Amino acid sequence: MSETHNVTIKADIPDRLLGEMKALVEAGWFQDMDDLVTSALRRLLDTHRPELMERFIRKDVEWGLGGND
Amino acid sequence: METTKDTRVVCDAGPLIHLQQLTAIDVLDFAEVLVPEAVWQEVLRHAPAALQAASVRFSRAEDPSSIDPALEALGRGLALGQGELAAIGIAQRESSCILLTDDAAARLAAESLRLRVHGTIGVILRSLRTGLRSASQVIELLEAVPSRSTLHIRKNILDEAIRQVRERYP
Repeated sequence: MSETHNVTIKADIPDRLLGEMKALVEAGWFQDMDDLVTSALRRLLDTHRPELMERFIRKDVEWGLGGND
Repeated sequence: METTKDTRVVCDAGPLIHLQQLTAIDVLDFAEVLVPEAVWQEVLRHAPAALQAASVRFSRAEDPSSIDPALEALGRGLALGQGELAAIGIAQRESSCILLTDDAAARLAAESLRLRVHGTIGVILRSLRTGLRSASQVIELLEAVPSRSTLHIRKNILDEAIRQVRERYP
């Protein structure tokens, strides 16, 4: 199994979003901000798999051009 | 039989914002465009002009007072926002409605609940079928998506949609 290394990333985010993130951590949904950000990124990557996005667009093309409603 | 004139949709924020960015909000020419309150507030913050289009039959819809347990579980698992949950909840309640969203997680959740769901690209292409836009106008809109909107789509997928338009509407 390959070894996993953690890296530090820096990002500018809206203060409102930061407030919502802190509230989730304080409510106990995540251990800390690192846990929240890692979890959010994992979920984003899970739901934005290229094959999934392509399937959605193909469905849109079929409906858009060939649907009846 | 349902026709294009009868179709009702419930809209998440993405398509409203993206269509406004493309100055094509009028392609939402449905019998009714239900906008959940949470989505209405979100769009007011990001693209308020979208909600002022006189040609679109907007209906401001109260957010569902309770969320179906299956949706609640999906919402938690996929980290859905309040607007997305409300839009899916209303689509569940209004069974004839098509859900419009560009959020991949919301779309996954809606599909899991067997709802009909499409996005901005589908609505733009539909405008060609309903005669609201010509093939060249639709191609122009699709080509503008990466530069004029915040809708993230890989270029090869957009190119494929454009190719289909050219093929079916020569």
